[in-house]
Amino acid sequence: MTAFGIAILQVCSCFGFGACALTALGIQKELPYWEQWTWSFAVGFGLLGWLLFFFGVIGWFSTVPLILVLGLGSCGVLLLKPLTQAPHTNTSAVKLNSWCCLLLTAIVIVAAIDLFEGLSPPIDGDSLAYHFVHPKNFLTLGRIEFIPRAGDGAIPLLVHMTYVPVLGLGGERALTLWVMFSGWATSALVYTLTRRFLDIPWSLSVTLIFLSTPAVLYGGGSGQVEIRNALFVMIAAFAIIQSIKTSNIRYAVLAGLAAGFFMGAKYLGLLFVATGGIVILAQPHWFRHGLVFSIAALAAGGQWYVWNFINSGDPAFPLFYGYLDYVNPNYWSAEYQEAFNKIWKLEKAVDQNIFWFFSYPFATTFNMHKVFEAGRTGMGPFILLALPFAILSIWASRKKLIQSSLLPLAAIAIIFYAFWFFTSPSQRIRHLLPVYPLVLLCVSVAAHRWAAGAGHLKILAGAVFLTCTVQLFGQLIFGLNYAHRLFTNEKRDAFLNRTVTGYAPVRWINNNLKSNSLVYTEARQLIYHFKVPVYYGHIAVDALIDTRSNANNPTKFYHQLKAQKISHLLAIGSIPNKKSYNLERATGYNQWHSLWHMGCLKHIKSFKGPVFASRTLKSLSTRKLNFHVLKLNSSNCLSSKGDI
Amino acid sequence: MSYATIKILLLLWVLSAFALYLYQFKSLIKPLLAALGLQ
Repeated sequence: MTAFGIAILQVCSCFGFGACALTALGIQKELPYWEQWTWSFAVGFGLLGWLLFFFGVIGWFSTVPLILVLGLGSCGVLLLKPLTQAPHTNTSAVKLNSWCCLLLTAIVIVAAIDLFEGLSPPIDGDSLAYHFVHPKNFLTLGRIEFIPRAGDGAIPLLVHMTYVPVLGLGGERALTLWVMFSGWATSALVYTLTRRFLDIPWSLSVTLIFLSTPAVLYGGGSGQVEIRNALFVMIAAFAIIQSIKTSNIRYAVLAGLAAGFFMGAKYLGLLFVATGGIVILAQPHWFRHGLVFSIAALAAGGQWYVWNFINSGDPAFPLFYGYLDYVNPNYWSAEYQEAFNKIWKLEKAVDQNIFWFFSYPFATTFNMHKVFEAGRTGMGPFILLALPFAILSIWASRKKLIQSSLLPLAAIAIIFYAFWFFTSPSQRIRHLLPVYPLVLLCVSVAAHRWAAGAGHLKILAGAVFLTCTVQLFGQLIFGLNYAHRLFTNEKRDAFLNRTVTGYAPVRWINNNLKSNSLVYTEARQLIYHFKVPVYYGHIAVDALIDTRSNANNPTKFYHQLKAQKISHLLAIGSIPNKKSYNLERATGYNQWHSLWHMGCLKHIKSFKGPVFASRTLKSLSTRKLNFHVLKLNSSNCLSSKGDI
Repeated sequence: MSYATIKILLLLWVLSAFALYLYQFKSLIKPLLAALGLQ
């Protein structure tokens, strides 16, 4: 119950902080009733993440300050109109027909499956590698620490900051419940914004489509930040619309804050700030609003770039390597820059040209390349199915298109997509999830308007039905794993054993190694579950221990391990015997093969277990992996001849 | 174009696009059946 209480307290604090900010800006009273709640949560979520950065820098990641910040934020809820004053929906009551009931039932089913996930230990790979690991480590230290890793360490961590209070005060379950609640908040915001344009049944339809989108299903209940960044994108986009429509500078401030929160949560947010900046300039007060927008964005999201700059010498580590002087030369090298660029190349499947700019959305819908990761973690089929309706709608209203309130939304989505497509090093479709609600909203509203006018609403409803059916089927399959755990009272270790590749050795290490040990491993999916200190090695993002794929210097490898005070290795693969050992192939992670032959490692224990390529579809992989717990010996082994 | 023609074209689009979308998951049929305990 503590976990649930803490998660709820943090939800209240987000409502409270957001209500304070919106009241201070004088925006609160101008919003429809339910939007006051959803906007407050989104803004409060960003503010909480922003505030906690400074708590972390000061070293206030302990019980009392964290309770105080959540308690203080929760007081702001009093600024929101109570639920008893919620507007009645008499005019729509008639429309709460069987169609509505069906949609609500489906939404409840999806929510129940989310709850199953929220009540289970985390098993998503990225969350276990870093999303939940950084908050856990910061709590152990009581403060924020600079992590000299490219891509998953020295990154903007505004959303991750919100994981700190729940994990610190309520434990793991509070954390998983919190990500569930914050994922739902995005769907609630989608609903309330859609209600501006559509009636209740169609707004519920759009919400269900969003809630069951594969990318939302994939990231909503885990530590992935994209779905939570969608909160900031929606607030920024609608605030920009209001700023243009009303020339009210307070909306430019809000738009800047929201865009800045995105910038503080992910590097892609920089592209969004640029996008918002371009769109907000399209008005008579372009200079004033543009200036205010930029200042607010920098204030809301600039702290992480300053932090990175102070600690590494590069505000977007390691983007400016070679152009700026680094604080510590060991943090990065030209070789690592090359290795880093090489792995990004693997994330590109198509050329960044005009042809693919237009073709990419179709190519990803049909998952034409595995790099897109568009099947099980894609955006679903609805946009494609509703596309002709939306195009006909645009054609039908072409003369008054410029006055459409959807135009700025579409412009933001398109410009962001253009920036992303031509500059992003990765082509994974789920990175576009933050702007997906804008696309969904534009396409749904345009399609509905035309279909309603032309008498083709039933076909559009059919597209909604097909989309929801296939997505809900995916949701149900996804939920089976968690439902099995809950309804069979499966123990935590048993659940992790059958879901996380290589969990067995971690369990053994937690029970047998002392807390002054430091284990080196490349197995990213295991990092979070270690209870003893762990060092996560990587072939391209961590230069302190050189495991680049062509690295083949066991002596240097040994000294780097020792410099980081590594005591044990959790190595993957087979222990090479004298016949199978080949120095040429003992590269990268496999440099431990050479250390083994030099007598620098002592075998402690071995494990063999299945590889789980998917949380949901276990049979996608039938491979098995060997894990070895090895102890690092003293440096005498380096002077001996060994077997090399 | 007549109302009926547009209706048929839209219907064809929705059904064929949806079928094409589903086609990408053909390789998942066996794992899906396994997840459902049917294999």
